[in-house]
Amino acid sequence: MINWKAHPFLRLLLPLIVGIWLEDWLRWTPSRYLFVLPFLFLPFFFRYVAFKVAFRHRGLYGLLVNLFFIVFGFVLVSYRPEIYQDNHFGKYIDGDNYLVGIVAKPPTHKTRLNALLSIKEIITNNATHAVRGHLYVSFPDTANIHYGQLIALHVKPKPFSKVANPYAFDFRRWQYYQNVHYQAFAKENQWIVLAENQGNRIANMAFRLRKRFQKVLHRIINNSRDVGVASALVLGVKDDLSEDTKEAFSSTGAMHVLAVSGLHVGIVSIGLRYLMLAIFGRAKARRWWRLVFQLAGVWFFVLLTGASASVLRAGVMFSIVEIGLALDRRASIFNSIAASAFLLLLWNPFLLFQVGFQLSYLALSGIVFFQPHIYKLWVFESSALDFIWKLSSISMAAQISTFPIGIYYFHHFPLSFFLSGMVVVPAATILLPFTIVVFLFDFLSPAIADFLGKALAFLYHLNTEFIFRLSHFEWMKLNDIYFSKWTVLLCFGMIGSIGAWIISGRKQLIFYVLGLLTLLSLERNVLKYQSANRSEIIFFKVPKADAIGFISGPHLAHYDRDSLAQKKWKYATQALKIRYGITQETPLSEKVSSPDFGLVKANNFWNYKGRIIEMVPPILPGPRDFKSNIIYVTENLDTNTLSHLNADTILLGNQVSRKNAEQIKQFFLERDVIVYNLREEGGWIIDN
Amino acid sequence: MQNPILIYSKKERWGILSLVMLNLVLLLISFTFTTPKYEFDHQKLLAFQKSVDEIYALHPIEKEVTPVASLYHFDPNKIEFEELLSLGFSKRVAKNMINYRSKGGHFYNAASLQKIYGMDSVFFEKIAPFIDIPEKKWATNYPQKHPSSKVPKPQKASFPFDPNTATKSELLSLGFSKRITNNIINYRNKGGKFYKPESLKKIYGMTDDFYASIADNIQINKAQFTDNQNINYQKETSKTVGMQAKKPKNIWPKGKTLEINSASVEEWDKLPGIGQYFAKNIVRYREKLGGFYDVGQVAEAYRLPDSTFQFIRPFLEVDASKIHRFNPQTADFKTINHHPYITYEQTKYCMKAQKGIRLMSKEDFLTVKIFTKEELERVAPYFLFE
Repeated sequence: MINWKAHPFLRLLLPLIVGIWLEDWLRWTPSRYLFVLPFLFLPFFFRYVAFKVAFRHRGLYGLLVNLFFIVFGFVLVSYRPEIYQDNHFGKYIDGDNYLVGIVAKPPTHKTRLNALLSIKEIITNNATHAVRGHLYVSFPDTANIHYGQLIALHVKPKPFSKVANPYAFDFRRWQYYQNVHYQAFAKENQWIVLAENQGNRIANMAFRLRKRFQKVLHRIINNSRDVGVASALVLGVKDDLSEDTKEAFSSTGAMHVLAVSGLHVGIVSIGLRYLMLAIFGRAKARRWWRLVFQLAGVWFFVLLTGASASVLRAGVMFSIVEIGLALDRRASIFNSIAASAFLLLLWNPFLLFQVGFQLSYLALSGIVFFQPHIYKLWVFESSALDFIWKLSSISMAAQISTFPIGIYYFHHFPLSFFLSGMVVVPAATILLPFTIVVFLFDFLSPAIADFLGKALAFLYHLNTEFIFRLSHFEWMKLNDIYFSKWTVLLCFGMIGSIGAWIISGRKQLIFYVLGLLTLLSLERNVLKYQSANRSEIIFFKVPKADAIGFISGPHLAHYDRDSLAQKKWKYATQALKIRYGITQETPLSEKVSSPDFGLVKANNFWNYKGRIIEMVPPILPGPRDFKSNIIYVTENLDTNTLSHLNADTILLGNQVSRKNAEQIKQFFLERDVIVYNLREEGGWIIDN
Repeated sequence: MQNPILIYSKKERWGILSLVMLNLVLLLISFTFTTPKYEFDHQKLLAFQKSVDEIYALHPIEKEVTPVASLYHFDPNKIEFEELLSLGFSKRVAKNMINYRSKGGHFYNAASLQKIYGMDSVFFEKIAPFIDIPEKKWATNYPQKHPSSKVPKPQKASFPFDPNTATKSELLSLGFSKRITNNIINYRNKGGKFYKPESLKKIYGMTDDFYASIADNIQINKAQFTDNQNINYQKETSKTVGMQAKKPKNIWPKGKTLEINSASVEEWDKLPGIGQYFAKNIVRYREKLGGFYDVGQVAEAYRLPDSTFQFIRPFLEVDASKIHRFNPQTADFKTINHHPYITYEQTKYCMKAQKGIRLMSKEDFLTVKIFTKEELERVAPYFLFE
């Protein structure tokens, strides 16, 4: 099957991944002495290294090695979250605090300006402490914050709030994997800038260079859409991309061109390789010179695009691959890929859980693995067609190995990836170096740069136009697909089996493929069954409004008080609808009842399949024949009237103030009533 | 190419067929899943509806009948509660708006209505075109946080005035805020005088912008200052706290001037209003600076009252060539820090800048943000670049 001996790092990478995943799943807080665990293996290794491993013991040795890396991965992640470190500022927080920190990344702009600060000092009532840790701060959007500033703040750091609604984007989790655990909200006059340029000098230079090149692009290209594309493609600047540009590229499967990553670094790396061959000649003795300049160029590009995580990753990946090739042409490229993954995971094990990392490595592995076989299927006489086919085969190979993850995260599959790949990838291959050349000319003579820039602008325009035209074909976009984790696993199993089938030629592997396909169909059936028989009530957490959803099968009926704005509703429910396979959505008005659906409304009472929800206020004391299951509180209540409330559960809606919520909670603490605060806990699902 | 891969034995073919059939069956099954319709227990349902009616019979609550709302233009700062209801506002939102206003809140622009608790965006979009707030001047900039603090400034008049004699109402009509006017009056009552227009800048609350707008109108009558018997201490700055007013005893010979860079302590002492204490302070300050380049710097000497300085000022002159300069790019920490115009922080940055790989040119050094523009102007005469 796989010749493990040829890919040593692959053998080590897998147990490391297992260890990392395991600890993340278990989330054990590290004890002081956990880090000792890997060292316990030393005596065994020593014994097996100093004295040769007997052939009959080779299994044990292998087991020990695997175990070691599992434990190692485990320990690596245990200590990783920065809140476990001794002098994390989280330990000193008490309400409002004064903190001093440096802006660690260029801030991002949405409705407000968000910046990540690396905290250096915190001042509590008694003393000043030197600390560590990152804080995600939200500034007003007119604030003048940029990379490298030293800022003093007077804010209230808080952990991130729990995910707002079921299946919605979990910001807290995302930040957890970025190793950021606290956020703060800064209003006007709650911060001052103490100093500038405190950040890394090299990063500063890179950002300055990037700003300069951005200006050049703005000068050369007049169309705002094209400028956004060019900035993203060459400089990794996403700020100028409009929403429809992103939508157009995403729905045609060309989004990977706009996020600087492996593709771009690969183009630069390979381009430089040819350039070096041209300059230095093919002599084997010269290969180290070629390598040095090639790597210098690649890392300059990495710096230029802001050295974001994905670019750094790609940089490491290609550097190691190129070094591997220079060392020995016969060496396995898989090994280099695995080695780069290994090193990156040592540096930051959380990368394993980030989309960019997963997509990068899957795509690259897929390309390396499948592309030659796909390419071989068709031979063209014309070298131009051959070239196009070569690129298409790369596109297809990448798509094969990434589509399960792509659908899992993004819930869509663009059929037009084939067409878009054939255009944007060659386009990027040309545009990227061309643009860099124009930048370099700009240093010498802006006039020449402008002249060349005209051709460049034209090419960009063609490219963007093509994508936009392509995105008009709605039928090519398959949307709202839900893949569970099992689906992804089974898909990869199938892909792996097909791959093995192709490589080894063993026709029995078809049974693996079909068997996995059957399991996949089974899984899909299970999901469909669940979807059809689903009966739930969901109370959504939406800012300053109330929304209740009643789900029966693929049908969602929702009631909004004060008619909820479309955007808020969409944000809260988009992922949920895809997950549940909701095909029909009905807004409920005040008067309607749908007994067939299971829902009956009487004044302020909802009766959904026997479960009774009472909307309060108005508070209706006095005897009654039934007890409400749930009381939904829509406004602040007078504490004197709380004794009139009689239900199993009291749900505090989104418009109940924090103070009142506390009062109500306190009131019902002794009695046997559950009080659930939507604003604090997030949306709530009840199975009905 | 020839494909030995795809040739299967009979048993294998059966196996493949059965698996494919299985998949097709599963596919068909998936279409049969339907959602069961819910059948209410009619008895229970009727009982439920009856109970609810009974409950409501016990507690007659005016159902929130939203009347057909007719939209018309309104000013959210003046409109009444009932009028809000007739526009279609819910009771809650209307109540919140009234509360906000009674606490001093003011709606400066249409958008600030959105922040009222309970206001939903759909309704807001409906009524937004009907919101009329007069005085659109503030429509864009003012935040809503402290509604009481921003008082609109009335149009100001423009006429020449002497800050030493202008009356309170004249100052107010010129556009001075109440606070600044009071400060000016207080200052004058304590005997303070404005010898030159720039002294106005020192009044607490005076901004550069406002000063620039009235600077042209300042006309100070110099004649009132000839009587030097009426020297009083005008400003109680931290420098002068505790100092007593003193009448100068010595008479300074007419026409004589003191060269401030070379004068000794005794010579300083001879100046009227300056005794041993201030003389020593001035000289000590001069050592620290490395010399004066402008007469005004003498005023910065420790605890020297402004009035005394103004008094001796006509007798001072400066020979700026004798300044001791240093190169901030090569000087050591102590030298730089010692200089009164350079703070500890700035010294640290200078040291950092010195560690640069290449020795920066003067322009680079000066543009590195160690000093603000004003600070730089002030300290520049002491720098000597190679």
